[in-house]
Amino acid sequence: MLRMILNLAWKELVQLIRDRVLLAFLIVAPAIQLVLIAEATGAGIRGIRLAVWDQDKSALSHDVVTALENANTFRLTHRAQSYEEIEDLIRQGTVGAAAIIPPDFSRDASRPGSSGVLLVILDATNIIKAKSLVGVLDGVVAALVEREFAALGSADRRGGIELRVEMAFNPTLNIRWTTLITQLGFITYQIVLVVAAVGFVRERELGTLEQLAVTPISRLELMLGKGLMALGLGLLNLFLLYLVLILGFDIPMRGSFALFVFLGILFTITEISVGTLVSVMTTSQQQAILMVFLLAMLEVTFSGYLVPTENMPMFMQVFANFSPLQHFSAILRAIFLKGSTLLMLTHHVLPLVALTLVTTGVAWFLFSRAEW
Amino acid sequence: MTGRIEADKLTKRFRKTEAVRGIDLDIAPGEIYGLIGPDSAGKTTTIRMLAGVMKPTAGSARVSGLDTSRQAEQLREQVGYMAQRFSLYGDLSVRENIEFYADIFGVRGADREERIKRLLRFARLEEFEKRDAGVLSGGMKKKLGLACALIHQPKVLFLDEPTNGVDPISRREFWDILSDLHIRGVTIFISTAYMDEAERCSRVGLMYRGEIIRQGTPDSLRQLVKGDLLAIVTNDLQIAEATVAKMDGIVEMQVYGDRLHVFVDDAATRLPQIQAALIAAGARVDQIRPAMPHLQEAFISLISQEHDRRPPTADHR
Repeated sequence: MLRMILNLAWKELVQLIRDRVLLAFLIVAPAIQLVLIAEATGAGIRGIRLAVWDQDKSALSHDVVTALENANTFRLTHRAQSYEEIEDLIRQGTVGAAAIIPPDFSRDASRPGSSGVLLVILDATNIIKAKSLVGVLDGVVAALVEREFAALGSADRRGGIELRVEMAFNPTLNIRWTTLITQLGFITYQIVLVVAAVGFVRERELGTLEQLAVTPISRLELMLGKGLMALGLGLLNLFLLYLVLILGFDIPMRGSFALFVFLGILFTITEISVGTLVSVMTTSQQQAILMVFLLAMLEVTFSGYLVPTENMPMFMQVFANFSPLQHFSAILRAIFLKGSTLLMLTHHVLPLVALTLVTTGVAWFLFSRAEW
Repeated sequence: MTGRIEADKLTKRFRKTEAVRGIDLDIAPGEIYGLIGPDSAGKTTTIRMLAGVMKPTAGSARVSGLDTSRQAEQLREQVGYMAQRFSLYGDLSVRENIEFYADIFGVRGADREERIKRLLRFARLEEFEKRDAGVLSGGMKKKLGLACALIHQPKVLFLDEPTNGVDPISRREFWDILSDLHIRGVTIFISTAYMDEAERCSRVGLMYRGEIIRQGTPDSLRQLVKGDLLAIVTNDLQIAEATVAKMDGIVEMQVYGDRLHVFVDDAATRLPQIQAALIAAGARVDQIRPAMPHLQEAFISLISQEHDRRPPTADHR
């Protein structure tokens, strides 16, 4: 019996080694995934745009701003002069964080029994990002207090600095909000990609594609016909999941439904094109599914679903720009939670449009020239 | 012009192999042309090029006067094609499969239902029209495939080993349909591994290593076999084979089940010699008689002659 088992195991091994594609996926892909995740988590969040409204303009408030800048996590981009301005910057997504230092900040900080209040507003549309920012802020303030006030000794109990963090768009830091909205994009992504990727390769495997080749159907009609089905499926999915989010989980929809649908179509078309590429480049459904699996691993990594994009090293952030899912996830969170308009989202919409055009173009180029 | 198949130095090279090496064809409208030859001779590649599915590397082909690679679009109306790996949408019913092809060939109007009905009757699939194509028997699948390939009433039909792995009764039914089409003047180009099917063709081309090495009516191909054929029935094939092999005047030997087919230079002189030798060797001779070679014997004989003349090179496997 053992001999039989070993015989079979040997045959399986030989087959696995012969199938180069499968082997590459099973060994190389997980390694890439692990390295990418490790890289992504190692760096810590950097470059979050910060607005500061310093009403105190004292030595201490100056120190606070410097300490925030030095943390590398933040990049001071705006100096605001009013609360309205701060609100605008956050709402438009121009900055990811805003620090407000009240007029009597340094006085309160040095008076026993009270403390200077540092108010920080964070964009909490991505909850994982927001949470790690809170950690960074805690660290910065603690270090500052240590430096400024420790010398005076514990006997002289003076106020110090109190950090108050306010979460914009998701005040209760409801993890469901971020996760479920991101899932909306991811589930649609998976469904559409698999359907599109299997589309042609399935018919080629069955032998029906060759039969279609001698009918009056042109390649363009074939690609559009298949694509239309996947598009319909993708949109149906988006709509159903939307209902689940709104009705089942009380997630607010603060933006425009039409914008959500429009960008959803754009995203779905992009993924259909990617799927078509997969279908043209593979010879069996199994290979196509494996390729989708690898792509999904990469997309999930780059999309900021596991690790915020800002957390990634520079080279990965560059790659992340090529991830349709990354842009679409950000767009979804912004539309749902911030009520962002098309204009506020240009930095995600334009790359998405570019990706749509490029993937569709390349898919058509290869598809129109593929041998059946 | 309609229904004519012509090929002029038709050639297809793949990365390492030359699958089809400059074949010429001229098939008149209404012929049934059978392409026979061993596996990997290039039959499928030839059919694919003629049907306009694959572009030739060199040379050209015309069907009904239309160039198969440059006028592929116009060709679609003229040509019906059933690939070797032909398969249907298993999750659609028999009728839905035919309707799908009717749709993409633009078969509409009053004619449509009539044609579908006729094809179903033709393929003897009327009572199964609601059944999923995936659960049909092998023979029924082939007939349904043929029905789908005929929905637009093509003038030329290309069939790539359509009856492979199909039981004899279904094969006969399939050929009844082909005969019917033949009577209506459809040109049929068929590749087959069955010699009894090749016998039913008006002309046969024998393909070997990318070339058509012989071409003609089944009768004329049979005549090409050198020598006379003796059919021997014996109780011990092994002894018989070994004994006959050592004798003079033997051109070729083929074993058929319990019989030994021996090609000799002259039947009248060799028959008694072989009979005597076999008995001397201890084999019982139940029957020995001159026979008319079938296409089967001719096929094997011609291929092995060709093989001896030009042994296969590494580049052509």
